[in-house]
Amino acid sequence: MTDRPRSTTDDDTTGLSPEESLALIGAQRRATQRALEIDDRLLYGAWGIAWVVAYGITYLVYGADPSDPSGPVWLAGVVWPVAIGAALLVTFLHVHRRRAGVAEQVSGTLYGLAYMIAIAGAGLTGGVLPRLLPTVDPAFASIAPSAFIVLAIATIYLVSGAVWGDRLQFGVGAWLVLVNALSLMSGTDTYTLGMAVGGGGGFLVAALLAWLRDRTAEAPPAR
Amino acid sequence: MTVDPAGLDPVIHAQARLRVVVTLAALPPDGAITFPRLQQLLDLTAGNLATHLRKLEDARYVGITKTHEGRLPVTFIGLTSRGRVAFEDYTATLRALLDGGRTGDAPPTQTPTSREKS
Repeated sequence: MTDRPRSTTDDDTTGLSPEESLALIGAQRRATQRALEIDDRLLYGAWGIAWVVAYGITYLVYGADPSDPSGPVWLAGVVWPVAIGAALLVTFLHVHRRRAGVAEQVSGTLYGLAYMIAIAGAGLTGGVLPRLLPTVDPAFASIAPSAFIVLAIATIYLVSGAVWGDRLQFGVGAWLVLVNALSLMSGTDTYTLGMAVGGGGGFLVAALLAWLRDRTAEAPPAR
Repeated sequence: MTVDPAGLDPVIHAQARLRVVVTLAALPPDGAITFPRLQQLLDLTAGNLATHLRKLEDARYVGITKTHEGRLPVTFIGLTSRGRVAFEDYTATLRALLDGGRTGDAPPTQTPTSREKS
């Protein structure tokens, strides 16, 4: 199987057999998809690592009792902007590279905006809601923004997975809804542990599944 | 040397133009791509690509839009709905030709005809 179709010359009007034409179409289509498509393996992997590190370190710092941190509190504060910032950087650079020169579609712009608005709104809701209670519970206030943001991200995954017919993305959305709810049910002490293992680990499993899916899709066609 | 089977659109049925059309068909229906990126995806020279694009534009298979991003002029190239239909017809004809050839014994394995070096 030739991976990259050959470069051609100007007076290239030589007749192609139907087999050659179909092979050329297949090879060029695969080459184009590889060059333009967003690599799910990379993005799921980047976000998986970010969540495992950020939630994991937060859990290790605060331990089982959030009112009595067993590690340096500053570390839990620093790890979030660093881990999420790194994953965002990977995402933006990758999307920018793959989509370079491709005309921006209104749907793409609105999709990006949907993420930003939903995450900002969820963070705000989770930040404000604990303050409306008669007494502010610090443990509850610390996990509420995350609980809302994860639910917002999961909902976007569900909807975009459904719209694009991407079962893996839909599955990640459904999994995040479940893990978020189960981690909350486990209590404020173990919420971050649940999100590190189930959420971050879920993304890493998704990266593995995307790798397996792409490997199957790239297998030589029957003809 | 192989002969063009009858019924295949001559505008598409040439290696370089077929590759251009396949690449543009991979974009969303109203999608477009800049000339340099298309050139990079196809690994063609600018002059070569421009020649093939002109032929595709003459057939109204390809739409070329000149616009500006900031102060820089940008040329976007996209498949027209007419071009998309022509490509679908082309692949349907190819499959029909192959299926017709398959009723007897299997067609001989084609070794790619040697072409002039690019």
